[in-house]
Amino acid sequence: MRTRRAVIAFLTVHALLSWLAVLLRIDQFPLSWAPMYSVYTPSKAANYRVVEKDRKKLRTHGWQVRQRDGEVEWINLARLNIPIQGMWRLYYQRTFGQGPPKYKHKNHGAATIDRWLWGLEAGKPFVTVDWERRLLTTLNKTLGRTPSDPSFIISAHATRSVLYFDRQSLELVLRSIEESTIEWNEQWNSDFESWV
Amino acid sequence: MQTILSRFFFTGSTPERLGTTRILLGFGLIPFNILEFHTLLHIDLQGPSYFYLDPVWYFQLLGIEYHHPYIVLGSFVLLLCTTVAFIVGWRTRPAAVLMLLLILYLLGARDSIAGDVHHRYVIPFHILLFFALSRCGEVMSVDTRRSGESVSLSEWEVSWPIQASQVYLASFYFWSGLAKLRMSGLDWISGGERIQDLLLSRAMRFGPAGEGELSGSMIALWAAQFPTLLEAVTVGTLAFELCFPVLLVLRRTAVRLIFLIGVTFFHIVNFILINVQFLFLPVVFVLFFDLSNPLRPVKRRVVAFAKSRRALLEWHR
Repeated sequence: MRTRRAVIAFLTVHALLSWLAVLLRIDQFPLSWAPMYSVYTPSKAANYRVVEKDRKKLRTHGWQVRQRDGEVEWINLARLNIPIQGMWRLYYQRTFGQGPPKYKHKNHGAATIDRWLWGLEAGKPFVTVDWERRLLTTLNKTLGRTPSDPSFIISAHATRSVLYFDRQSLELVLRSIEESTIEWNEQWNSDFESWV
Repeated sequence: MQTILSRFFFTGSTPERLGTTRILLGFGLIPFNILEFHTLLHIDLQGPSYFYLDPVWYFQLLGIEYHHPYIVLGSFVLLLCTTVAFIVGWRTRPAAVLMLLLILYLLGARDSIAGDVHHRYVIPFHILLFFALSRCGEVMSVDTRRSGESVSLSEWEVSWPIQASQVYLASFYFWSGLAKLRMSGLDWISGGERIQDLLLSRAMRFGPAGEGELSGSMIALWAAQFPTLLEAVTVGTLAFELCFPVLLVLRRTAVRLIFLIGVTFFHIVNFILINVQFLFLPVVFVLFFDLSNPLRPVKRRVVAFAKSRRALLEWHR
């Protein structure tokens, strides 16, 4: 930029945009208003609940999926061809309906300017994402399958181990297994190609 | 007010400082880029193209739906090359613009896989944007040396990119503290539970080692045993985040140094304990210091080496 005036104009617009993102709680790169670990709601539970992220299982097995023709197969990390960090988020979080923190942040809180602007009541979620549909679409599209294929994936099953630690002593008190099965809804077939 | 802002943004730097800052930022960005994007390379180049679960907004806008291994690899290599071009000042502005585009692409590719937005590039991205718009490539650069013309840069031209970057950096930390207060209030501090929860979760990051054993970060599990210390850490974190803008007006080198060493320590500890990968972010703290004087002997040696090399080549001819 060759003139002071141009620099001032640019910096003013830049500052306005950055602060607007903070006020309206926009978390879309390169704008941001909250780091990943900003939300914390204290729990009254006696234990901390921690999901075990078994990476080995994701490499060797992954989801157990059922195809339209009844066949059963495994979809592991290599079949999706993505980094392990992405795989464990898909398997241990999205399959169990847990979205990324950006949605949790957006939906959190009571009266905010963005809620008021969009006419949303306090407590009502800002964004709702159908992870079941998204994940099954991703699995099928990555493997090049369409709803009419006999090998089209209609359900995916995942298990995870959850550990409970005592809040005071931090001793491991319980280990339990959680399961989740996501199912394809046949009503989604019609806009399979265009839906994102 | 206008005079104060004008004095803040348009004074205080020299061309040497701008050039040195560009070079140091570039050097810092090399390990930063590698740490950020190397995971994208751990895939099979011949393997299938993954269909993004939750594409970032600009991928949605451009219709980018699939993860193409070859494009990702090419972009990564090109990003490292453009970073080197930015350091040496070879076609600096196009290099910086290309870096911004490649960061957008690689970051979009990484974050669209599962939908998580990572914030580690926010600060470097904005700093690069300021530098791309500035005349930082016209000082201590290959381009200037090649053209042989002496370029005179005014004080305001060399000051604003550094000052604007400082303001953005301080704002980002301030917003982080603000977000914690907006969303969690003092619960975020209370009893150090937030951090304890995170430490336990990270201790399990790499899965089980055996029956009831933890195999992730054992040091994270050890640190989780001290809730009072963790509470002090959360108070300290919130305090330094909210106080960061004060650094813009406190210009004493010693004060800035102590404060920023503290923040650097915070990022290193975060990396070790909970694998929060802001490890190389502190490289941007060079913005707060004029390192052109301490690095002058290094510059002299580089110039002398280049001259002797040129003389040797001419003698050979």
